[in-house]
Amino acid sequence: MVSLRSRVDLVFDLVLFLSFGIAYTFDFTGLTIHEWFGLAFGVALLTHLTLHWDWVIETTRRMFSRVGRRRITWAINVLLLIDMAICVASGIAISAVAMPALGIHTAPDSGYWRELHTRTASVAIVLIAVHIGLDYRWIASVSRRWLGRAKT
Amino acid sequence: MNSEQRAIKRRRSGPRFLGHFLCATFVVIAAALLGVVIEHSAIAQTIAPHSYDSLETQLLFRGGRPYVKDVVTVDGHRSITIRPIPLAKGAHREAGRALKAGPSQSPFDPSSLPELMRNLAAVTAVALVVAGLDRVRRLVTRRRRMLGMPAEP
Repeated sequence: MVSLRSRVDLVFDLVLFLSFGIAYTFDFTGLTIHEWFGLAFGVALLTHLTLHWDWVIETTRRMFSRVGRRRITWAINVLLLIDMAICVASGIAISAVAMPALGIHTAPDSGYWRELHTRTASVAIVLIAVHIGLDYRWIASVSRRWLGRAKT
Repeated sequence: MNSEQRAIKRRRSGPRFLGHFLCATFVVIAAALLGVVIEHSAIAQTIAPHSYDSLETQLLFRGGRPYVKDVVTVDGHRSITIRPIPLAKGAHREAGRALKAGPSQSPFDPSSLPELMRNLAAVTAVALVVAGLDRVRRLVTRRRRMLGMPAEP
């Protein structure tokens, strides 16, 4: 039996993964959709962190007493958090369409923020892959149980 | 869990989620600031020397189409590249009324679909490799335990 919470988490994580893939492929979306998508992704990222807040607190508290894998997972997640935060923040800073449409002035000509946005996005795609890989057992377990239940 | 406990839990879940959301927002903002500080630090320069001083970019609009003009200065030599930015439907209106409206592209460009698929496949492949390595590590740990050796070498 898969709990509703696990199902919500799985679907939400899948949506996040696809969203990042779409936002990352700039030529596919074009500038306007890329920017709105990026903003929505930032909010979804916050929601993802909120949904797993208990895990974050628990793991951070036990970080120094645990060994090996948990520490690696924690370190990867922290790196991903910092990287994604910079990626979204720099994206907001260079926004040429979405933020001006909301009445917020940005610096679309800034080479610094543009470069930072591109670099952090490239790092994020690798860290996301590692993040998914480290949580593969949970993904496989929930998917298997859910699909198994759906068959009966 | 009886119905009363469930009702209490439901009543508490809203403010709890809100509290966690605020905490998460704070952490994300702190992480972004920390990242920028690290990026500016001497440690980051030592690990990966970088400079943005020589790079200037400018957003241009020609015939209603946006372009990015990069001016890169390396060893005193300036090179200028101008590359177009794909613009989605409706962007002309939002990008500024000063711009002349030009032909707009479809919001989703189907010709870039293979690139999207490639990106998703690459992430999935790396995730599978990491998952495979993790599985091997688990098997090794289990085997070591079975042989009475410490789990971590």
